[in-house]
Amino acid sequence: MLGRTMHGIDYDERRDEIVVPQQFGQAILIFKGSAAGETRPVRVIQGSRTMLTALDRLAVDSVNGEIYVPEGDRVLVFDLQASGNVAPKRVLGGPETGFTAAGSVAIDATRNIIVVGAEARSADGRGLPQLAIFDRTAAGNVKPRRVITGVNSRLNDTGNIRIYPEGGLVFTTQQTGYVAVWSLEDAGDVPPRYTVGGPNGLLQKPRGLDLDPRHNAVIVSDKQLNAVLTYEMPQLFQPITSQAAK
Amino acid sequence: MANFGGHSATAYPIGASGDTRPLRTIRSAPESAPSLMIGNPGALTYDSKREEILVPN
Repeated sequence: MLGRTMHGIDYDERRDEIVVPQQFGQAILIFKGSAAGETRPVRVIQGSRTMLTALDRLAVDSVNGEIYVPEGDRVLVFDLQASGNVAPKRVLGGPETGFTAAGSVAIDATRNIIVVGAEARSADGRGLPQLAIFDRTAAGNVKPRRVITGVNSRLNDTGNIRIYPEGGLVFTTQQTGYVAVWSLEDAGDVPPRYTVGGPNGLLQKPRGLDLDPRHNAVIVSDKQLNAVLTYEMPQLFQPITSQAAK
Repeated sequence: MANFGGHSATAYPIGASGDTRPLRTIRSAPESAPSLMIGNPGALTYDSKREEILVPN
């Protein structure tokens, strides 16, 4: 049931499950973590009630048992145990949210926030890329808590997003060739605090992204290089409590 | 013919049909070397339990 176009994947460590979007089938597939070979998914979310149309990426909130799916001008939230033709439990979307073209999302269950990678709504339809930060349980037509956007932010077409809650950092792949890192407290037109792999480095078209804090690793897949690269960045994996002690 | 999974290009006679050997193979490693089978990787996730990187293709 897997398809040719899979731009997202997430692993749920608590339940040992792999969650994958299936764009052509307008579905979310959940596999056992040990799945290999020709294996059926253990659950499939699919059907007219799901509101899934062209899902590209998704994110799992292991702590609260939810799946987040950015879909254009809204973010759909499903129960992680949901199966079949079920409606999302929450939908974030509307003019007050300020975003459209939502393509990625990440959850910080510690701070109870989500970060949505999208574009700002604009009359001419040419919105600036932005990272919009909402309350985790935000639903309906609500304003974000804060937004990172602007020329100085150097945000372009944002790819996958990951959060390192212990350090209060949000990581995003920037398709111009690097991983950008901001503080979760940042707002407005601010440059990234750190960059990984570029600009003008080895990365060319980074897309996939994940973090392995135990090994101080930032893991990136690059579409142009056709490769997976692992950067050891101990300076980025400093819990805030140890930063304060210095 | 480009071979996504095997990281190779193979050339066949113009009239080839069925289970035909290629005339020649271009590959960036010896034929016995395993291919990573990564093609256009647009996403990944880290399986912290097994310490494995999962890459959809």
